[in-house]
Amino acid sequence: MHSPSAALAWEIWRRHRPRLIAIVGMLLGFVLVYPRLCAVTGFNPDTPDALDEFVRKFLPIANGGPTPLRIGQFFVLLFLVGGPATAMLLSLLCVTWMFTFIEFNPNAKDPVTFPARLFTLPISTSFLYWWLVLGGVTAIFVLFESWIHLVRQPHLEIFGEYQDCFGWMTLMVLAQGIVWALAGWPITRLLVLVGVLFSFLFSPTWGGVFGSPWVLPTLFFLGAVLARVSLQKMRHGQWQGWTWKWAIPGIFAWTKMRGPARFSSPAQAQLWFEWRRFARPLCILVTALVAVPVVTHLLLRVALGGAPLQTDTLFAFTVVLVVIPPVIHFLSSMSPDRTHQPFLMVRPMTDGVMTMTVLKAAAIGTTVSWVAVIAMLATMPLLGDFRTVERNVSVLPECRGAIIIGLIFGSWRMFAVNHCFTRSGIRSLAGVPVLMFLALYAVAIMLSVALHSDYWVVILQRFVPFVPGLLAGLVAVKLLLAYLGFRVCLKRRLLAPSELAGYLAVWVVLVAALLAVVFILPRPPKELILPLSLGVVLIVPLARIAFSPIALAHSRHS
Amino acid sequence: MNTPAPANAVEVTGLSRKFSSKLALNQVSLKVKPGRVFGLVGANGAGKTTLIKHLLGRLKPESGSVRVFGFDPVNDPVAVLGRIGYLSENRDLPAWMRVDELLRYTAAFYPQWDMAYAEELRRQFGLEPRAKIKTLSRGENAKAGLLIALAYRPEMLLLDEPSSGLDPVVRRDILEAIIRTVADEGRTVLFSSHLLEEVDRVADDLAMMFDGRVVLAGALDDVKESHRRLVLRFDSPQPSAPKVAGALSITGSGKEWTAICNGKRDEAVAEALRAGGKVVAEDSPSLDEIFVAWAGAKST
Repeated sequence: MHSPSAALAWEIWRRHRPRLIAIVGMLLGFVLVYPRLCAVTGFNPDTPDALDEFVRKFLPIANGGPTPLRIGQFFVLLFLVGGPATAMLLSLLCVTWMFTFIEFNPNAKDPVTFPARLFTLPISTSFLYWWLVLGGVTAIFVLFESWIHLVRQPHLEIFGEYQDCFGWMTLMVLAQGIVWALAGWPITRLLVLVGVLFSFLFSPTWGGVFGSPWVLPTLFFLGAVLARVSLQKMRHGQWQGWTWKWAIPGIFAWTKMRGPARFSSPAQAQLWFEWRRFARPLCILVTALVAVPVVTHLLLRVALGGAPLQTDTLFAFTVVLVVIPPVIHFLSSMSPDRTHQPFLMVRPMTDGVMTMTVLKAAAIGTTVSWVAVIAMLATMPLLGDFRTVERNVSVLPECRGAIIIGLIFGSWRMFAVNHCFTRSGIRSLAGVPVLMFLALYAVAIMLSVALHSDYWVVILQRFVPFVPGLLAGLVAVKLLLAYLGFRVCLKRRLLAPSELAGYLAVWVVLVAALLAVVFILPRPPKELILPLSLGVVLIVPLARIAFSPIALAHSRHS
Repeated sequence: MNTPAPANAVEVTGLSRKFSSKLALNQVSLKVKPGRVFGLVGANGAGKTTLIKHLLGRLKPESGSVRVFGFDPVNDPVAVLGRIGYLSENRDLPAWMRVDELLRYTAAFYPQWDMAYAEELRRQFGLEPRAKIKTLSRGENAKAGLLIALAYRPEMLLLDEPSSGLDPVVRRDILEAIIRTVADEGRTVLFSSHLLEEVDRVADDLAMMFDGRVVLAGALDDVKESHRRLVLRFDSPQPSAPKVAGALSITGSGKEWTAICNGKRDEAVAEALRAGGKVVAEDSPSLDEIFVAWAGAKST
């Protein structure tokens, strides 16, 4: 490396190599594969509004009720319509994050920090500032132009606002300014960032504001000034010492769950620990992610007298809110907190106690997270015509409770089933949940593509009668694996018999509750009863829970 | 039926461990008797922390065996960890906890937790109960770690570089006093340290490690007795260090050289006489000199 610029560029490359490779991979994938996929499925992205094309294609699929194949087709169509724009959005957000230069350090006071070591290098603040801002702006420009000119983007009105390179540059500079200015206040920084991001994502609904030629340049200028000043202040620790008491910590004080003066058992103490370690921060994160955009919109709507959201936007907004908890819980399960491992592993408790308390804390966390989401969903009627959205979704009113239970269970399951992979301490195993997700998605795409061929439709139809048998086989494998896993746990004294009995009781209750939800409320046709029952048994985690203490023991005694 | 108390608090036999191609522990064997203060010394990367991790069951022996109070720490971690008070080298306490929460949480795992003693130690260490761990200095962090390791009066105190981050006053007046008190109560202390004067002052027994091997182990007094420092004077200046068989190291210049010998004192004296020198002074070397001599001997 011959210069500080080269060294900084190398650091970005070295720190973000997997992400940069993924961005280039996505870009190449959409340049080379996407047009062929459109041709195979008969989707024309150049029609005046691809959403209409989506609806035209989707309606024939939707007729006749949901089947796995139709659901697969739906996802393929969704991918074809929204894939390029979503990938572009994600890659631009990723580059924005890279050029804030913050790094994740779980051992630091604030786990997401700007690396102070840069301030010990013989480079001026101005150099650092200009390098990061100009580098970021250039990277955004190059990436944006590549997506726009190289990828055949479906025409979507909803994404029109995002097809403004200067908008993305403004978002990046604003993010830099906020991250650097609020370096000493992690919660405030998170809330402000979420607010700005959601304002940006929902900017199409405020076309009048963002359409003004003055707004973006003004925001860009403010962001740039804030970034420059705050980088200087951060270098000399001038703002970080400031402190003020404000309402947010007070709001969340109840979630601290201080616990009794003396814990009655190690399991109780461990549950408190896990709640504080990951479940409570997850609840706060989910609450922040859903509350900030809703409150921002409510303020605009009520205080500033803004127009109500259109039905499509309100629907999209609702979907975003509903998707947040499972995504966040899935992601959190993918990044186990390794920093506490040395501290925890020397406590005299079994791996079974550790596993069960993590599962319990996750269950409490998902429930509390969903309470926050439901509270925000309850305010939706204030933002627009929510009744029309409800009618369009056509969810039977009596199903709502069942859906909420299903969503809470689903979010918990996202977390619980990955435990046996991510806690093993084996790097290759930790990536299995993502691979499984991608594999399922790939199978759905393949099935859906196959449905466009009569030859394959005939073959798949022949396969349908075997589905119950296949599911029964999977259930048998699951039960066998669970038996083997629990046997090893008991033999190696990783799990006490009482803990095993406790989880089996929970498992039976969960299966019974989900069967009740499936059978009592939607009243499925007779031929679906057996596959659905087997499906319920399959989705309630058992075998992977059995292997969790074994994985933890592997990590504990590597 | 009560199982008889094992003769040794720690018994390690032929323990080996490899990290990739590096042999971190090579056929390590040692015994720690109950009620003794055992110092583990060695250069960086000698394998001290790896050995301690095996005692805690954090690493599984690739070959050999580890027994702590007669239990295998991998197969029976609860039995072992319930008897050990451990202070980690990295002081990896959860940053989000407050000091009082840390005490409350840790107390749940140890039925013999002594709340009054914990409070006394907290005051002695000057730790604020409401202070968050992340706001503590490195030294305060070490004190908090030491506090939770001590407060349930464990049968064995296992301290990995306990002095790291502590100022000399705390190190001398508190840490060493605690270690002696624990030993006087008949409990065992095993600690690793770079500070040889500290080991010299506190330990009853020691093991010296180099490159994953225990090169020297035994009672501290015996170790010191078994080493001699010889000051050799030659008639004419020696251009380079004279070759003295039986000496671990030889340092000096010109006519006067100092040799450290381990058990081969007579052989070294005879060799020096043959080379035209004579012994002008002889005494026991300090632990520091013994360590440096062994380090030099290992590197050559």
